Amino acid sequence: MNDRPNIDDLLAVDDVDAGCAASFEVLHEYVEIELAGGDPAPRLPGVASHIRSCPACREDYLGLRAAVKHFDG
Amino acid sequence: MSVEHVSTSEIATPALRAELDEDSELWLRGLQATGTEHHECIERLHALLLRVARYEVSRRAGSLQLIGPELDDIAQQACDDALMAIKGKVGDFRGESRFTTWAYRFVMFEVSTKMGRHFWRHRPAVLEDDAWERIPDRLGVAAERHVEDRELFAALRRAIEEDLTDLQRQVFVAIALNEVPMDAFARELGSNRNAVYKTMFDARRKLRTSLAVAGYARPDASRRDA
Repeated sequence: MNDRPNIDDLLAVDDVDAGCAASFEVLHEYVEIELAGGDPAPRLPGVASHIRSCPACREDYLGLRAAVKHFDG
Repeated sequence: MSVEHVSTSEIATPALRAELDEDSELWLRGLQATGTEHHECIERLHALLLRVARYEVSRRAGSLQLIGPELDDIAQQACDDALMAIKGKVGDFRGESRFTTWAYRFVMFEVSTKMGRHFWRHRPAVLEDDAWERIPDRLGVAAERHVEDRELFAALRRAIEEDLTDLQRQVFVAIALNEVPMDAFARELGSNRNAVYKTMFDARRKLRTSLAVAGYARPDASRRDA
């Protein structure tokens, strides 16, 4: 299976993308909604978009989710 | 429109602090206390953040060729800097989550930053100038499609070379083609992740436009279903 990005992934942009700094400000809220079984995207669409496109913030999101599950789950 | 112009009203900070859970209340009370109660709270928080930092460094360890003591050094530094950030920003905590979830976020950011510093130690400091010649490989295009998509890749290469600013080209080639971590590249530029991402965002948009003008319209600028 090929998990590399295609050309549309490489050039993907989304007008609702909140950017790194704004997403960081609410990442804790995003993760808790998700871990509680909810879908954070409708409340925080800019963050949902951003962590799809930004590899650094996506890694922080994955790490935060893993840490909360491991230490507080 | 670039990300810096996007409305972020969705993330406006509530005016009042939400009702806190018992544990979060205890953390806040300890951090705002004085004397022994405060020192004990800081010690407990430091110990917790260090466990979280070690866990996160271990989770990301595969991306760097580092050994145990170096990884633990990153965890220690990330923990110390995260604790400093938390102490400075605890007044911003509004109870939208548990205190610990809010606090772990700083550990994630500091681990990213510290690991970015180590990225170049095992890689050439100079980026490969011919990165875009490997676009088909980077995108995992099967060899038999190289010919089929040759014109598209040529148009993309031309747009990268001619339509992007020097900074946009530098950022796009490093991150999208050479797969350099954003924090590592931001450090090289003397910039920060947010600024590099905005540059990357604008470069992507410009390349989409260039491909569309050249007759290679991309189906949709948005990607909501990834």
